[in-house]
Amino acid sequence: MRELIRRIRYWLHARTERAALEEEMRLHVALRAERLQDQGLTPQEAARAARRTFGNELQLEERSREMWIARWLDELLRDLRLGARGFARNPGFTAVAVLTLALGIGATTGIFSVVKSVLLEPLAYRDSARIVAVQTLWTNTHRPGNVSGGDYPDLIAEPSPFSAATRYSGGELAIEIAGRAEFIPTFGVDAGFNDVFQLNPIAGRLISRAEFTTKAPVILVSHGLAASRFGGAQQAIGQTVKFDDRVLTVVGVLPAGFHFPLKAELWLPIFWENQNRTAGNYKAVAILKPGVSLEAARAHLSTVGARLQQAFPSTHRNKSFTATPLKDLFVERSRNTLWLLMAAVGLVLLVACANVANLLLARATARSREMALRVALGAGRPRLLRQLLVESALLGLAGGTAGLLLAYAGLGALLRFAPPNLPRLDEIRVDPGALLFNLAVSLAAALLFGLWPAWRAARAGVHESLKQGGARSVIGGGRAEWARGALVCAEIALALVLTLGAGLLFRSFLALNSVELGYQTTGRLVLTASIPARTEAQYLQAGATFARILDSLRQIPGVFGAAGVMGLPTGPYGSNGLYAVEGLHHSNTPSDKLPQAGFRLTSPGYFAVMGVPLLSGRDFNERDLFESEPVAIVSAALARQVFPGQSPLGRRIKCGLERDVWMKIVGVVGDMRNDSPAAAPGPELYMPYRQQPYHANDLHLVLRAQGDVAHAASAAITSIDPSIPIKIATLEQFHSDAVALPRFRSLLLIVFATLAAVLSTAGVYGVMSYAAAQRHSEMGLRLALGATGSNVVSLLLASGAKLAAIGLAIGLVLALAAGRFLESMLFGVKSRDPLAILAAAALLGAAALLAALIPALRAARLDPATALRDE
Amino acid sequence: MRAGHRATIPQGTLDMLILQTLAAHGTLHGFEIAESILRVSDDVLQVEEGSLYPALQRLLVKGFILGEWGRTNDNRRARYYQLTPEGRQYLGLEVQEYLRVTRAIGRIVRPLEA
Repeated sequence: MRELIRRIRYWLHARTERAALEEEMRLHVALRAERLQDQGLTPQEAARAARRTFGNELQLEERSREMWIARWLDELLRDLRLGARGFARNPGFTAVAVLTLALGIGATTGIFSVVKSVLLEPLAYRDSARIVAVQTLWTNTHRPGNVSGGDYPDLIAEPSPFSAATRYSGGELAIEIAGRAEFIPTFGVDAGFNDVFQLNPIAGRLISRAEFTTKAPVILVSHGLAASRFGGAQQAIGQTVKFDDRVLTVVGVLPAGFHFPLKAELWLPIFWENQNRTAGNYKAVAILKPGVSLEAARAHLSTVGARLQQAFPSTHRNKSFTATPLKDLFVERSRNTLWLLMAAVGLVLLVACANVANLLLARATARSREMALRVALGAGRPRLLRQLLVESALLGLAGGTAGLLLAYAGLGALLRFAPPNLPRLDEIRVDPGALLFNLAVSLAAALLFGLWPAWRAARAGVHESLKQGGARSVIGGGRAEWARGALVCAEIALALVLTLGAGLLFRSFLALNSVELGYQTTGRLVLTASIPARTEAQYLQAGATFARILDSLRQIPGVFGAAGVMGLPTGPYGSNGLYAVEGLHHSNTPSDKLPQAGFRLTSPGYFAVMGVPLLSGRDFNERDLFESEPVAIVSAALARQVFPGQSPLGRRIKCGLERDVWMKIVGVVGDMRNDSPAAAPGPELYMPYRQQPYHANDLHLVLRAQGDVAHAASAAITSIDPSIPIKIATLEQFHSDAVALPRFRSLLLIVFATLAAVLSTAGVYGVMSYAAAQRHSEMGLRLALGATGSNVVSLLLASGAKLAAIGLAIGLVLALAAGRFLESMLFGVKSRDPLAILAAAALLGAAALLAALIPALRAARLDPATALRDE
Repeated sequence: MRAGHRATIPQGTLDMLILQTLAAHGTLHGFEIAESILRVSDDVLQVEEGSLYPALQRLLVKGFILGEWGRTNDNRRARYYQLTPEGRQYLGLEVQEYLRVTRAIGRIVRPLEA
């Protein structure tokens, strides 16, 4: 340790130490000379002999110095110091280079942070790698689905690969706390819930097994809920809430940050039991026994599936089961997007590196004399190379540090615009792993942009550069031009790939946004309302209350229409299942032969409010009540499905939503894209909400209105029943959330493409400027010989155009190849869309030509005499 | 072997010789150290200037000696070296080891003594 201090102190005083050593050695030489004189030599001979014994003084000093500082370290420190000084002397160059690198490296680090936090980091649960989602697997479509209450016990019966498992179901439900009703994410769970997540309450206790069995009125709440509603974790214990007319008591508080599933704040024993084997009402998670592999679990579930297929051939024909690691489930949808962003940002980084490489090539020309001198003085080429690479590393690290700051700032902005349904959004941060990545990328980039210029500079011939006027021509006009031109072509190519990608995604987003939905989204207000009900009487009463509410809403000035629906398009929930048509299907028709449709419950006037055309028959009216004849309305797609070429009116239809009764079809309406704008509209079966009361106490009330009627609307509801919780949004907001991910994607890609385009255009400008300056005297000569200004311009512009053309051609090939990976994210446009390709190429080409034009125009205004004189 | 022929100092022992010289004679400057070694070894061991100063620097790094600027008898500036406690300790261990090895070698070659 003390030795280290001595070394550092030596290094700090290196110059004085060196002088001291020289003085010491001079004394030694003098004394040796005197000694030799005493032995009989003449003073001159003695002096010469004495000096000879010392040998090469320079080498001696070097060897002495090496005792203190290892040679490599000494050289490194010197290179760093000289490099930093060199950069400080060229602030313009340094600023541009560091900024360019900061943009490239910063963007890369930022996106990497997101990718790492979302895709790579394990979930925040104990042993999260062993937690799996248990799902139904439909073998005919290969799509996973919910688990049914009837199948679930078979999936987890011993011997099983799971040490614990739980079902869960729920969502934003109406909970009344301290007299105020609101929507809280609430989920019913099984006894296995405690063990799957190895929960440890921070206050109170967990729900006991017995309480799960008896469905006792106890709940767990999240830390956030306890703090905001009850003033703290301890204070929450023993408090009560009301749900569906039951009083529930808080017995435990879960740690902060635990929100499984999906932002849950409240957990209770599963309240809605459905033992049906065909209704997929639940999701399930389980934790694997230690040592059991995922494959083993999947094999076990397949076996169970096969066994059930044998036992229930009609209902379970295409049904099997599978397990998926929970993390994969969460991040599945965003995986492609995140890797796309990573690739895009990688391209930006490459463009930035190419730009900096160009800058370095230009700078190397100016330093060629310095390099040649050093070579002549004995520095080996490897030594020079090392020095230049150290300088590049310095530049890279400076750019990386600045980029890190940009990444922090950028992430903040990104999180604000990110779609709310991006998984693990709250876990995104710049962690030590990202810092390490930043460092690695900085150094890698330094190597990337620095190696070639350093190689060329170190290889510079000594003779040419030391000749007079050699500074200009050392790295050889032709060879250097080629190198820089090649880099710019590469930049343009990469920028084209990004621009095309951004253009395609943007067009997809526009198409998605403007797709024919089948309904209108503008000017529609949506109120989410929920009336608690448990008994049949209460459910029927809820229907009546909603009718009164809708009437009251229609009275509000500015409201042109009000209707209710269970199953809002792009809304949080809906229902679907099998249906049967009288005459077509019989009671013994096997389930897999029955057609499927979406089920929606609507109030009279819904289709008018939503702007959906009534194609034939009539809408529901106030006379379609629970006691009346059951009726239904079908969508055009359903009519095409089972009534091709005929009118469905008057035919009878039945479905498994609730009541097992034949409903008379009274109307046909136009198709709506109910699920997501990207999915084609499917067959839909609409029923009056008052005839299916068990599903109709949670409704979305849609108002077609002008002006701000939100306050009046919620006031109207509160005046009828103050205990009904309300959430207000617009239909546009619902729709917007559904396209949030494509919008986010295209937005980010546009940002990156713009970055790349700007950088590559700057690159073109730089190279063209430099080329024009190089050809200063040539242009001057031409002008003197009679060439016009426009001749000069076209001459210089032609070389720029050639660069752009080559770059665009290469870029086109790359873009077409890369386009394949984009296909899955495109909507309404193919990756080989000629219009998009043409537009992107034209945009970049125009930018490049403009960038080449400016220096060309400048050159044309040369005074021939001065140009020739400035040789 | 002719008497008076100077031998090169075996590798690794130069440090030990410098330290021993300082231990015996207190404070010396570079030239004096070289002269002392030559004299005490009966004109056998000649210190190469090319090795002396790097060796001195090495011993400075390790903290076995300290250097201080002073004046010679005829008022010339010189750097005088002296032993530190750590240097003394190191010297003791080195000498011990050297003698041990030398004796062992001696035991093997002694039969060749005429």
